[in-house]
Amino acid sequence: MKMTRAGDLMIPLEKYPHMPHWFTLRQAIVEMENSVLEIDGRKSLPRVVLVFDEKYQLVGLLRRRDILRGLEPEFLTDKPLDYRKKLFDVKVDPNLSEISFDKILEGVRRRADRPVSDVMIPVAGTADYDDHIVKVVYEMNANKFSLLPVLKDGRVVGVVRTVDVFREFAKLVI
Amino acid sequence: MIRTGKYSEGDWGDGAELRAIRDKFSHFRRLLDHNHQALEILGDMEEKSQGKYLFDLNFIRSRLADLRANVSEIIRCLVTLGGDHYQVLQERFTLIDDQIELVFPSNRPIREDAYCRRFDTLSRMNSYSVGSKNAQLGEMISKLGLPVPQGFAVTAWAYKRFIESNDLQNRISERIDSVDIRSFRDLVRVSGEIVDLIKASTVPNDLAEAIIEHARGLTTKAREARFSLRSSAIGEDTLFSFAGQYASYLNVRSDQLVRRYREVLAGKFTPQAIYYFLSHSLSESELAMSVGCVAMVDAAAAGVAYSRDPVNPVDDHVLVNAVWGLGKFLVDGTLTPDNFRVSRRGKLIEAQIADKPVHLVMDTHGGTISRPVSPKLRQKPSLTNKQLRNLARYAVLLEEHYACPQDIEWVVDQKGKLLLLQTRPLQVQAIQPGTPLPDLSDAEVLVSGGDTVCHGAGCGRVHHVTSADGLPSVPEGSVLVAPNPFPGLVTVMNKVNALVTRVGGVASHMATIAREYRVPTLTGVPDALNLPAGEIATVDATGAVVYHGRLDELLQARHPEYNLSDEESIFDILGRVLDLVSPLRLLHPDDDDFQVENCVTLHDITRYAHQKATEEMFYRATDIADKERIGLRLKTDVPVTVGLVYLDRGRRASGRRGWVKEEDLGSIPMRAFWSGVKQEGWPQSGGDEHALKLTLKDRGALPFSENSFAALSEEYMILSLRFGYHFATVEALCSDNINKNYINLQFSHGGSTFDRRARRVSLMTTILREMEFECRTKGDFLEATVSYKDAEAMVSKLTRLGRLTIMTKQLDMALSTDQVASWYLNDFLKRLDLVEVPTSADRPEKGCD
Repeated sequence: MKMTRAGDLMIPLEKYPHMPHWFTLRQAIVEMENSVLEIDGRKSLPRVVLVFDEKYQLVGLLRRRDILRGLEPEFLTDKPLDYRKKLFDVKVDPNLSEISFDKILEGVRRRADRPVSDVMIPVAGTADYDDHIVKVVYEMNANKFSLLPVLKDGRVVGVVRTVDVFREFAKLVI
Repeated sequence: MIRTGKYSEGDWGDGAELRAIRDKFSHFRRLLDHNHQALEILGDMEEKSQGKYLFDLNFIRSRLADLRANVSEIIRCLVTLGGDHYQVLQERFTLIDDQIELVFPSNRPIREDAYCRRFDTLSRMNSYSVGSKNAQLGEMISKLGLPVPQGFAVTAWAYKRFIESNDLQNRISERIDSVDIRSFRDLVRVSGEIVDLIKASTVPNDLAEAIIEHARGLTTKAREARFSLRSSAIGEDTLFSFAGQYASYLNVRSDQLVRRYREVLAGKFTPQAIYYFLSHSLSESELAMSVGCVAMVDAAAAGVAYSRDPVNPVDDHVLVNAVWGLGKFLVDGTLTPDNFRVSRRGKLIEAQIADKPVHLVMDTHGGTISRPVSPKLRQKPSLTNKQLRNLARYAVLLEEHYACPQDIEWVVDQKGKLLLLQTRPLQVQAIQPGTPLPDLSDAEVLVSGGDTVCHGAGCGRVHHVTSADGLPSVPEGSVLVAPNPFPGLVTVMNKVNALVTRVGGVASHMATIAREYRVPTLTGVPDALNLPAGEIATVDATGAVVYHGRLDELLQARHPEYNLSDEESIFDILGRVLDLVSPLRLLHPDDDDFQVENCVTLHDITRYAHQKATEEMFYRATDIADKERIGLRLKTDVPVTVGLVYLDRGRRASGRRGWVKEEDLGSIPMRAFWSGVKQEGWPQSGGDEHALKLTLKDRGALPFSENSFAALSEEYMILSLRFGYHFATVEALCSDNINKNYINLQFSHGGSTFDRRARRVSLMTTILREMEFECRTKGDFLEATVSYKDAEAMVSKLTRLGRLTIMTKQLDMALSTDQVASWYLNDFLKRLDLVEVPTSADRPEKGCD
């Protein structure tokens, strides 16, 4: 049986949603809500959007939860990394958000204009076009990735998702 | 195109120090002008390559000629602007251009060869000399050992001998050059003149002897030898189907051979053949003619076999059409043939036996004659199962040998032996699977039935035509109805939207050409002639139904995706030309590889020249006086570098150390445009930029935009903006005189795929139309103009344009689907206070990703 490579499994970049890093969260939401991926007749919404710079180089990944994090009211967000625990520091109570929903809604709309570069996550791993499927699985498992950008000659040419790998394995097993 | 002339010379001021800039600027404007034209041509070519529109080789050649002219001018302007060291760009251009020329079917001179070559000495390598048809016969014998009648080829070298000994070349060229390709009558006239010319010429003795001697070599066994003569043009069948375009003679006696040879040569110049090669921009000198001379087979049955169903290639069956007697009645559409579907292993899957009232047989005096078929045989299958099995085997073998589906002509002799007469690549058409069909239960059916020759649907007024005489009056865009596919029909293929005939099968020559021209075509429609003339009808060729009226949803649903298997197809040529013309390898001027040596396409050359011209114009001015004026920069918090030059300021009039504040811009149009840019603003980071910094840090992040510039006066501006990978040029005149005012926008490029760029252009077009712009688009190139508005309206439009420019920067990257594009369209229309339009009208025809 022929060895499956990342290149065989990937969704080509031209079919996968991506955007410049200075696009807003609002635009990212539009992209996610309106890009139906249809692979082998199965439809799904993308869970991750690729973020590029103006030289069309990949600079980050944007997941749904990153967007949600970006929309969250400031008083609920995690402390920045350099934050030091102060005396009398209290844990935030999410129930506070009940206090004034209108106010919060207004804040959410405002924060939707933040650029995606604020909340995207760095690209921590990639697969090469010629990588064997087992290597892809290893990368995914070892680093808890649900999606890996696929590179060919140093350029992003597509992505491979766990669901694609899973389906390939399903064919082998069932 | 940038309008020249609207901006009058007097506006430039009269200082002597301005003259140099003015000269430079005029070269620069010319360069921009040619650059825009070049991009427009590129857009057009890319659009055609997407497969939605009809085009021919002539289109590629003429667009390419325009493109070359523009690129040459660009280089010339750059050399004038920047000096001789830019001549290297010309060398680069020549290099690329030579490669492009290689893509085209070659213009090589006829090579010396013997006058005649026996088939068994030939293979497909000899097609340059004996034409594809003859060469493939040789290949079948010598490489595959398939049964082919004995014969020989009269070579292209012999043709050259004939033409030269009669001094025909110039006399023919003169006449062909005078043809009006749109007039069938004119084609007929010129055809007649040339045919007479050739028939009046003599075949030189040495050639005549060679032909007779070779014919004798075939006939040692039979005294009453008969031959068939068939044309085999050089280049025929490889590039275009040329189906049935040239004459052939059956049952020729040996004493008639030389005369018939001359007539086959004359037959090359039929009206439809002249039309065909003029419309494909071939010249008769490129089409030297070889003739095949084959020992005549007394045919019991004959026909065509396709190694795959041309309209349904997924179906793995071999398709066979057959009639009694000689095959001519099948290919010219006189008879509806028997139709067999045979599995690849030779099993008969399906047989439709037609009533075959007549057959064509050899006449004892030479030539052929139509005879009635005996009543016993009329409804009988014209092939036995064993013959079908053999035929399927040969078809599969040929497909494997040539690695593409084949279109094969065959004949069965009176002893039942199967012989192959021709093989060539089959044009295969695949329809997009799963296109949902609209509900047609309410549609009025005019006629139904028949065979699909070319998939798709077409709509127009029904027009009946019964013979070539009626062809000149066939209206553009009609649904053409004919009793049978007579030869002249080819000449109106590019005028009609659909074709319906009463008789004829999928294997006729017309069918081949209909598929090439992509005319939805139905044949064998019993009630075709009852279609009401003058009524609008929609022909669903795929579903074999003709409906009353225009059914847009059906037309939409039947829009076919094409897949031409023929690797020399016109799409392939355009594709290979585009590879050398269109991709942009030079991306960012700051990249190390932004060098002349790295220009590998014409697009690269224009990109490079445009960049260097901008630099020459605005950044490399050596003259101190120039530098002070030209070296101005716009001071702005938008991360765009805009070089400024003032055309109406005699002395340094603004700014310190070369910076011009936004409020000091002065120029009315520029101020308006820039206020729009400012209003929309740049997306700002919300404070925590650490993620971007993390990822961008090591990659040498670039400022977002480079090398934008503007040339300004009080009432005029030309602004060239570069955001990322796209260019926008806005030229505007905004004065008190309504008649002089205009805004002109050109927009092109983008970093993402063609689909996405085209979506952005389509979105911008809709918005600009709402803003009263007239728009023209070609692929991803957009040009929009508005004029004759008062100054106030101009200012408001320029402000909106400024906003739109910021809104759409790099938007192409995000336009992954039509839905996303549609969302943006509505969002922008709302934000720009323009009327909301229904989404369905804005969607491009192409499906989503």
